[in-house]
Parts: sequence; C-alpha cells; structure tokens
Amino acid sequence: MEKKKVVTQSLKDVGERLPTALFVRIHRSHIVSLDAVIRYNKKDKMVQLTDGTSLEVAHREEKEFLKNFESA
Amino acid sequence: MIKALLIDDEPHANALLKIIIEKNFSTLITVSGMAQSIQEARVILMEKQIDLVFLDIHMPEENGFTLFNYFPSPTFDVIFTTAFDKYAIQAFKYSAFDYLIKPLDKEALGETIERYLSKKTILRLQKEQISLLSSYINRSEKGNKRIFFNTIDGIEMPFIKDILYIKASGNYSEIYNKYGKKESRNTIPKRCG
Repeated sequence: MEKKKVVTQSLKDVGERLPTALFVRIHRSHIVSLDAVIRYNKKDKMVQLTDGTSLEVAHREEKEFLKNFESA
Repeated sequence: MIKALLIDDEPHANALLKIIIEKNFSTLITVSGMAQSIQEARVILMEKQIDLVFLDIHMPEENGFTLFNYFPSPTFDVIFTTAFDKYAIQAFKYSAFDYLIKPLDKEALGETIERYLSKKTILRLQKEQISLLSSYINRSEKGNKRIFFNTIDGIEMPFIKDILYIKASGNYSEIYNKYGKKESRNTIPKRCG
C-alpha cells in the first residue's frame, strides 16, 4: 500500500467511521490518530506526528484536542 | 461477610488476589470460589450465593462481558480487573464502574473495597450500562481491525492502527499510512545485461 491513498469519502464521512477513542479532528481539513501525535507546539498551534508531518490545529478544536492528553 | 468469586484465566492472578484479600481484608471478604473461565464461573454462581465478583475482562474463550449473557440481571456486584490499557481506563472513568488495574496491589484493592462498602445502596449493573461499557472496550480493541474505504480504483483496507492522519481533499479524503511507500514504484527488477 502507498503512504497516501485517496478515498472517495469526505473527511466528515471518514471521521464518522473511525473509532473516536483513537482519532481526533484538529482542523476542518485534518483528522489525526492520537497515537501518532508526538509533539504539540502551543505557540504555532502545530502538531507533529511520528512520521515528521506537521499539521495545524484550528483554534476552536484546540481545547478538545488537548483534552486527550490530560493525565489518566 | 461478603462472599467473593474471583474470575481470571491466569491462575496466578486469582491466587495473588486471594492472598491480598486474606492477608488484609479477611474480616470483610471471604473468597468463596475461583474460576479460570466464564463457564467455570457460571457453575459456581449457580451453586453458591456470591455477593461480589472480581471479573477479568480479557480472557481467551469468552471475555468478561459474556458473564452478563448468562446472568442478564445479576444478583451479585462486579469489580472489573484489567491490565493497564489507557482506552479501557478511559472507558471505566466514563462509565463509573469499579475497576482494578493489574498487577493488583494492596492499596488499590483497599480503596476499591472501601468505595464498594460505602455505597449506601448497592448498584447492580444494568444491562444498558454493561453494553455501553462493552462497546467502549470493543472500541479500544478496534485499532487492530481493518477499515474499508472506497477508492477510485477499488477498495482500500488499512489497519486502523496504521493510519496516521487524514486530510480533506475536496469531497474526497487522503489517508496517510504509517508503513506505506512514499510513491508507488515499479517492482520488477531490471536485469543487467
């Protein structure tokens, strides 16, 4: 399988089918796996993933996103 | 005196819990039985009057939740035991069930027993609560399952745990996987002549 694969569902449809315990919507254009997140820069509002990708976290999603990383 | 049944597929886990109870809480709880499977537990629960069950969730043949298929309206209380799993813990927090994280220790067990005894009215597990918790746990196990997507040329079925992120691309989406190649390449090796 290739690293990137285009699927014919919208991001909204894909998001609805993914387990909510494992994925979070961070932006109108991005959903990330919580397990893939290794760093978050609060100043730039950029999240870094295990493969080196950086993605922007939308201001209105930030609070919900950070909830996932509160200590258990 | 509370009569307890310990259910865990690993005998040493049952043995350890029994020792902790007998050493520290023998005035409150007595271990009336130990089972290594839901079927063994079922027999004991039908034969004896059990007040409290320590129930392991992950067991090979039938998981802990199947106990409630045999006892849809249980007359016993349940404290779940589980190995450390952040999703399971999250599930328990949401559902407010009593649970213990294995390996068990005296302090955690003491706190759970205290909390259990201090409940003014003992809450029996309701069917809806059980199915809710069961669905949370199943969800946590879903990472090892595949998910199916339609693509322009067929179907893509990555393992959920291999998906890193998804980007919107108009009405379509781009799935980025952990193990994929950056670009597809011709895999037929060139022969040197």
